Amino acid sequence: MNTHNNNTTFGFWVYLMSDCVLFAALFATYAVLQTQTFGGPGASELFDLNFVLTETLILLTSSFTVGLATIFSLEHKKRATLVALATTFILGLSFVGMEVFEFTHLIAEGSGPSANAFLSSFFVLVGTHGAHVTAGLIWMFVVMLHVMRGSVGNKLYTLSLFWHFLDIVWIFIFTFVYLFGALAL
Amino acid sequence: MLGKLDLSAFIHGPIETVAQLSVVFGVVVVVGLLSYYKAWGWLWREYLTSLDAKKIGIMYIALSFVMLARGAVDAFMMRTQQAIEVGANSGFLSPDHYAQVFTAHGVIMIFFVAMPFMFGLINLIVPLQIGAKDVAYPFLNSMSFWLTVVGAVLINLSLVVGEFAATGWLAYPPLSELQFSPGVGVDYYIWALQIAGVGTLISGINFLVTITTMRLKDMSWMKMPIFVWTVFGAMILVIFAFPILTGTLGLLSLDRIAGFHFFTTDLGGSAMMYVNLIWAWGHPEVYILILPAFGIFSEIVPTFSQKRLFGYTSMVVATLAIVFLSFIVWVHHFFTMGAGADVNAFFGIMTMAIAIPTGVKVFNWLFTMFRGRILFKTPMLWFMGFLTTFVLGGATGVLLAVPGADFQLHNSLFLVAHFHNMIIGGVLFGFFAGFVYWFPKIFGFMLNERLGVYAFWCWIVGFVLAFIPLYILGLMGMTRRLYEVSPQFHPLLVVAGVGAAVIALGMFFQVLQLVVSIWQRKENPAGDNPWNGTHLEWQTSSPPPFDPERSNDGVMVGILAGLFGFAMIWQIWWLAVIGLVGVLAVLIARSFQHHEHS
Amino acid sequence: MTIKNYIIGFVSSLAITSVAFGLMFKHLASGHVWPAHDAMVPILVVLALLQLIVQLVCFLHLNKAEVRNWLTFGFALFIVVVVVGGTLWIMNNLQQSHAESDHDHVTPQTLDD
Repeated sequence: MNTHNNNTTFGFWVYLMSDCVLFAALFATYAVLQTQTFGGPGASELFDLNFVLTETLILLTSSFTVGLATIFSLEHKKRATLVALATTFILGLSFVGMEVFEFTHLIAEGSGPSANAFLSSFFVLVGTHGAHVTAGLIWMFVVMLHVMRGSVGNKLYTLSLFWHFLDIVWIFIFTFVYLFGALAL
Repeated sequence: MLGKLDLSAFIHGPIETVAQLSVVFGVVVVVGLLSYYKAWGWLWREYLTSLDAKKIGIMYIALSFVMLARGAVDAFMMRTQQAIEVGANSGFLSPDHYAQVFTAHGVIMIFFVAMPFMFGLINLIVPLQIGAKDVAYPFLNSMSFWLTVVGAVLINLSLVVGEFAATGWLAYPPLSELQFSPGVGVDYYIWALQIAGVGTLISGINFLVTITTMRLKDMSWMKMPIFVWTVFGAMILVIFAFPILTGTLGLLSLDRIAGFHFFTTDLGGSAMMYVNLIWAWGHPEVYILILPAFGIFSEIVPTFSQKRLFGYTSMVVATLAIVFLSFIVWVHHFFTMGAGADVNAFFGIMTMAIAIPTGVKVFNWLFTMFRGRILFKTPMLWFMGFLTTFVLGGATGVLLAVPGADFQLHNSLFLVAHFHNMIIGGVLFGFFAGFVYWFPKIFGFMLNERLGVYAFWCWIVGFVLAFIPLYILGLMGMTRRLYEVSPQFHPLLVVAGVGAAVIALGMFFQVLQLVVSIWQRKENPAGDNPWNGTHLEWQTSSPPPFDPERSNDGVMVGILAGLFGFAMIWQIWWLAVIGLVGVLAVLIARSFQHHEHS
Repeated sequence: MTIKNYIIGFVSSLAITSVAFGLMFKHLASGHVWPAHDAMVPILVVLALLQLIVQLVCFLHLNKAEVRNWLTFGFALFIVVVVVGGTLWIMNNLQQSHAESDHDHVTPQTLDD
């Protein structure tokens, strides 16, 4: 990698660290407002842990496959890179699909984001993560085009950083939102 | 089809109509002049689409001057209102309009005067000082600038279409919630700040990477000029504070647009949470502005004292200490909200602690001057003005850091006087000093010294007249943002009004200085190093070589982001989708072109 | 950056996740008895931090990153702790004080005022 590429990677790393703070603000908001159910059902009644476990496994696997894609790309295996990326894309899409399903399900039950402050903060914290994943999917699509054209440069590497970062954020979401929620804290 | 937008959005009361027409008139005049002199092509090629950091810097400063005029008009309106509002005379503004004016004044001065002025000076000088050809990401730099412009345009557009927030500059809920602010004013506020805020964040990353990776080989960290150090500190603060602002305003807009309950009074929302979050951003923001001003003075004082800077290492340590401490003082903005003694005491002590590194800096400047052969040129005059007003502001700040004293003075004019001491006497004087100091480098000719001196004396005298009375009024019990004032406050408010007029005279001299200096530019060439400065920027020619690299995409992103913002304000969803998809499309298309710059 | 890294990271992340969920299912199935409620909180936090470290090392290669990446990461961690911890401290404190002052309002002394 030449210096210019290093600059891009470092700048992107700084962006990710800055994004951490955005999530920190949302986590803090959730932590403060999670008890404000206003008589509605709380986390332990609303969330299905099996569902969340599936989501987690999907995202984790996708984090692995995007890693494989970067390695294949370094080894100039274009086909393998594309297969790994496509797998990641499908996994990511399934994750977003599951999240959309969960959200619509909650809204249909009358536990939408405008029901109370707890649900507002839940939807925004989890939804912001989902929006990041969606943005990552769009970006992944573009990167796949670049791979096909052979103009990928370090785009795949920064994408993989982004994707791993989202996986890490998800660790804290499933721990502090879903698992702690099931503990009925 | 057009969301909440209809013809009634264009119809205002008499005073607002004047503002509306002056914005339209201003735009028509500028467009007319550009067309008359056939300057569009030149402007487009040389400035609007330029990727050169210095060109972008010049545009940032031009933007901040335009917005300074707007913000100052707001200030004069407030001072006039309070000065003439006595007895049966209820002044010339309606209460709601008055509230919009003080909100716009605060928002504009912080976000669209101080911030672009700062980024302008950074763009002009940081690459030169570290010996870099440009910034790390020239295109993103252009895009950041245009996103800032979009914010400024939206704020001014609110004079023409609709209204602006009437909530105070931080839009505290529940007042800023839909229930109590049903108009589009708060939405203008939110989207202007969101879009400009993204630009600021990207700039922050850009300059952090530039300073970290693009210094000349033999410029180690501890050889960087202090200005570069303070910018480095400020950029760290931008990177880690602005996401909090984005998040918080995002939550507020969800409350308003989608009926969420983060900060509402019902269904478990907590308005106190907003206050907490917004100040977790807001306090670092203050230091984002002041740190580069400290850096500018650290350049000016040695140059005009003709000595080396005293205590370089302690300056660096103090800067970094401020970066850390500025993140752990935010409760001092809301001591009165009712947290317990332990919380208030902790944040009070931290606030006092941050005065220590600041004090170190002041003493370093004083020791730099000590036994120097001081040349009292305009930049140095601004420093002397800064020193006196800023130390006074610092002292009253430490006073306000005592929770017990703050209970008495919270939201009083004492506070208003304090932070104007910091932001005018500190930030603005610093940026003016930097502007006068580096102007010859960028443009190749000197600014008229005599008019600069006149401007300085008007500013400092006007400042004292306008703000010292506010300390007294605050101690007398007058709170901020008052539309109607009890008679015993009236005499001092008249003094403050006179002070504002003297400041206006100072601004007039500054404009005159620019005009006269440009007029006489042939007679006053700067030479490469007019002040005998020692840092790298003085080693190159004046003006320095400009990079011809250009791209239309920055402007495109700006226009599309502006459409998106406008559509979000008026809830014209199809247009919002077009704007957002458009921005994405431009960026994606860009990734497929071959670039030297990213 | 080798395939081995990713496999180690993936397998250990899977393991940590299954332990966290497994213990949780046990906890729920036993009617919040075993593992005890009070034990679950630190266990889950430790597991989350463990998984964070695993992924930082194996996926984000932080152990081989340059000093500047480390420093930004460290500062981000500091800010995250300050923002989340500070907010919780302040907001809990505010809620307690407000609850106390609500209580004060019903005492006759304040009503006399």
